[in-house]
Amino acid sequence: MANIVSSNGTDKLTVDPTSSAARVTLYDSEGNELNSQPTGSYMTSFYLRNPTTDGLNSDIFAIVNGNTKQVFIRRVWGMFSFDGTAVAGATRRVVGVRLSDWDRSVGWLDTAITPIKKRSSYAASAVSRVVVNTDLASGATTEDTVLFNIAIPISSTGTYVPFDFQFEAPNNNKSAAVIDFEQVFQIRWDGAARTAGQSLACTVEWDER
Amino acid sequence: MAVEIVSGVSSTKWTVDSTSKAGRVTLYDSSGNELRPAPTGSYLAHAQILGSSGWSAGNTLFALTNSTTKTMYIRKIFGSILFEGTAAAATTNVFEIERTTAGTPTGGNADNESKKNTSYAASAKADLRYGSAGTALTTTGVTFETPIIHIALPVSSTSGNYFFSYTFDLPNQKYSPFELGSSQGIVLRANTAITVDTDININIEWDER
Repeated sequence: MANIVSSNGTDKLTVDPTSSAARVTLYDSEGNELNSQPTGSYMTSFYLRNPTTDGLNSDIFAIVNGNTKQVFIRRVWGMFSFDGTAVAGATRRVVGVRLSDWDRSVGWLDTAITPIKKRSSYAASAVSRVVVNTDLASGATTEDTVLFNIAIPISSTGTYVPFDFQFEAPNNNKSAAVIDFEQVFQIRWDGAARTAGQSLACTVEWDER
Repeated sequence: MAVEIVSGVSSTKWTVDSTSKAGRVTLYDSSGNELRPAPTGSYLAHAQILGSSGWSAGNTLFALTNSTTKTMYIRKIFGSILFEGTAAAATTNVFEIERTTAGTPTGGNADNESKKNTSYAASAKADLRYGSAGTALTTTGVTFETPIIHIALPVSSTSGNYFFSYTFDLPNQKYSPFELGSSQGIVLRANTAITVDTDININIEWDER
């Protein structure tokens, strides 16, 4: 009989007594653990109906990360809909972007909402703030990356488009969209217009490590 | 020469299955947590909530409440909203899903879960119930968290029908489900006033350990 001993000379492979199966952990060949334990997993959700038609963009949601943990966006899920007065030949758009720099003196200082912990015993989220409003005080200066965009025709009323951006994939530790220290994940109405009655119901789910 | 592999922490020998000749392994993360421990059972609950009388904002329409013996791991929430009433201009019906941290809703219709395998033990739930046709649940003493999901359907035209599906659980990801701890619950509520003749069907799938 033999024990399997780690190259560190001390740790021995465990075989669980009921299953008689050896314990293994998945790593990629670069030495990164797959499916590693996060420090916590969180969600937040909002419904927001744009009340005005004024030809402007506006920021409506932002997760502003702090400088202690990375945010791994697992999923952005919801519905883009329109209940306003139809506009012939018109389409409206929503985009999700990552911002790598922003003006701290004006950016996203609106009233913050508290993320929900998927397990109540997790520590509070390490993000600086999560904000949602019809017209956030944006401090964007450098747009890093558009992560997704969604469009809806408003040429008739009552239209809707469900969406489900499942970034996270099992056994793939590079699948989530990463919001690094002091970066921002932002959702905004996009294009040179916003119309009364365009609405977004949205859930964002993320891990922190 | 045959060598038997023995656990480093007990006398358990590693098993190679006789038909496949494959060695048994179990996935753990590097923190020592089994990634996919066996649940004690896996369950489904469902409700058809008729909106023939409409609903008021804040009405609670469905509630699944845990007892104190096991943790519920919500795997998936799915269903549909349909609207067969008279179109209402500039109106979107919005429902929300959230966790409760104290109290158990009462009234409406009590229900039982479905076991995904009839050999499972009965669920450890404390209570399952739903409202219908104008009778909302009573929520005296119930504490609600902020929503984790908003579900919306514009009713500015009639005959809208939206299938929604939110899957929490991913393979090999121990931390992906949404968890209900001791005496916690999950509820469906009206976020806005809900137009007459808006029905919602909800299904919830969960494991217990």
